[in-house]
Amino acid sequence: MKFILLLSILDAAAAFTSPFRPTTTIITTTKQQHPNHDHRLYSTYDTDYSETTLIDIDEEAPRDIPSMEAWSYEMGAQRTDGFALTTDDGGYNVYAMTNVDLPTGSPILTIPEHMILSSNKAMAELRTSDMSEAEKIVKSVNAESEFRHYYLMLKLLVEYEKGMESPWYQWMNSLPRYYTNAASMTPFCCLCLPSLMRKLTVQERGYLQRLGVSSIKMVPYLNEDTKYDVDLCTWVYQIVYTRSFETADGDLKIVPLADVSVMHVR
Amino acid sequence: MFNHGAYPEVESSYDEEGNYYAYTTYDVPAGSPLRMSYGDPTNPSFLFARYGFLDESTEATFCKIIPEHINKDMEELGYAHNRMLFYKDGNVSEEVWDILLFQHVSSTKIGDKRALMEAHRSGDYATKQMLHEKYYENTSAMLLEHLESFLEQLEKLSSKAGERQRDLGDHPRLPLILAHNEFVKQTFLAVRMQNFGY
Repeated sequence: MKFILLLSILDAAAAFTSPFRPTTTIITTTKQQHPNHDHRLYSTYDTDYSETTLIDIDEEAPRDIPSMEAWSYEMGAQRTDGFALTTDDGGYNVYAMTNVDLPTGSPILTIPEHMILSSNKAMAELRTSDMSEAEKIVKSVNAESEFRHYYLMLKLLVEYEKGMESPWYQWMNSLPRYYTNAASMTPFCCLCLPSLMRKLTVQERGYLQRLGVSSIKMVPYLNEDTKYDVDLCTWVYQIVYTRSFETADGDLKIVPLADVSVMHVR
Repeated sequence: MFNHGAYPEVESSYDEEGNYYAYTTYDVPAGSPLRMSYGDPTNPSFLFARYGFLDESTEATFCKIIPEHINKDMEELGYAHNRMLFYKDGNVSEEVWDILLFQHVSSTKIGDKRALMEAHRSGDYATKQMLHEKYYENTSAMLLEHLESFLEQLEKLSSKAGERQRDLGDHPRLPLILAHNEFVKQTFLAVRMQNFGY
C-alpha cells in the first residue's frame, strides 16, 4: 500500500511540467557529512540517502540538505538557474540565494501540488470517525481554532513513523531540530522577557501544551512510542507553526523547499 | 528555504491545480539572498516569538504601551501592535500620541475626549492638532514616565537573564533574549533622546 502511494506520487512528479522550465534538474548524490565550514553552497554537493530508518530529532542532529534537494527535484520541483541553498554557520541555518541576476517577475521555484502538505489534505486523510476522543480534548482546551495545525501535526507524525518509506522523509530529515522561538523557551527564559514578548510566549507555549501532548495520546492510529514522545510532538509542532502559511481558500500549506528558512541563533 | 525580509525578493502564488510558484518582486542581483515575508516587519516581537529570530533590520517596534482595557475608541484611534510604534531613529508614531491624549482626557476632560473622537472620525486634523498642543505637557510626561519605567524594567529583566548566563546548558536561548532586550532598550533610548534630549 505504502509502495503504491510512493509510486503514484513519483508518477505525478513525472507528469508535472513547469511553464518556465520544461526539463527537471535531478541531482545525483553521495553520502552527506554535516558541513563544518562557512558559507557552503549545498547545491553543488552530492549525497546518499541516510541509512537511518527513523529521523534523529536530537537538537544536535545534522540537517541533510543535499538529500532533500535531490529528493525535491526527483519529485518534480523545478528551480531557476542560479537558485542555490547556502549556509553561513556550518549548516544550522540554510537559506536560498541567487547566483545570477534575476529580473523582476522571474520564476524562481515551482513545487508540484503532490509535494505540498496541507491541512485540507491532512484532515481528509486523518480525520476519521475514531478521532472523536482526541478532538474532544482539543475542544476542551479551547483550541478548535488550531484544528488545521493539529491535523498537519498528525500528518507529520504519521509520516515520521513510516521512516524512509515516507515520501517526505528526505524533506523532514533536512529540517532544523533546534529552535529559539517561544515554544522552545524554558519557564526561566519567559521571566526574562518584557511584557508583550512574555504574553506572546505564554500564548505560543499554550498552543504547544494544548495540542502537543494530551490529545495526541488519544489518536488511535499512532504508535505508543510516538504518542508519549514529548520531544517528537514538540518538533512537529515547531515544523507546523513555523512553516505553514494560510492560502486564500483557508487551507494551511507547507511547501517543501519553498518554506521558511528561519534563523536559529546559537 | 527563504529567509525573512522586510522588503522580500520573493512572492508566491498557486495555480488552479494547487501547484506552487515563486517569483521575484524586483530586480535581484547575483549574490543576493532570496527572502519572503513571514509577517508584519513592524512587529519584531511576533517574529521572535513565532520564528525565533530577532529582525534588527526593522525600522520600528511596538511601543509596549499596554493599557489594562482597550476599548473601541482606542482601536478606532489606531491602538494595534503594528501601529503603536517607536522608530529606531527616535520618532514616535501618531497613534501613540493619540492614545496618550485619549487616556489623559478620558480621566480629566470628557468634553475634550468627545472632541478628539469627533475630530478623528471626521478627519479634522486642525482640531486634533489643537488638542495635542493643549495637552502636550501632560502627554509628553506620560510618554517619559512610560519610557523610564520600561527601561528600568528592561534593566531588571536583563540583569536576571545575565545572572544565569553560566547556565547556558539549561537555558541556551538566554543570549538571544538578552539581544532582544538590548534591541528594545536602544530603540527606547533613541525615543527618549529625540523627545527629551537625553
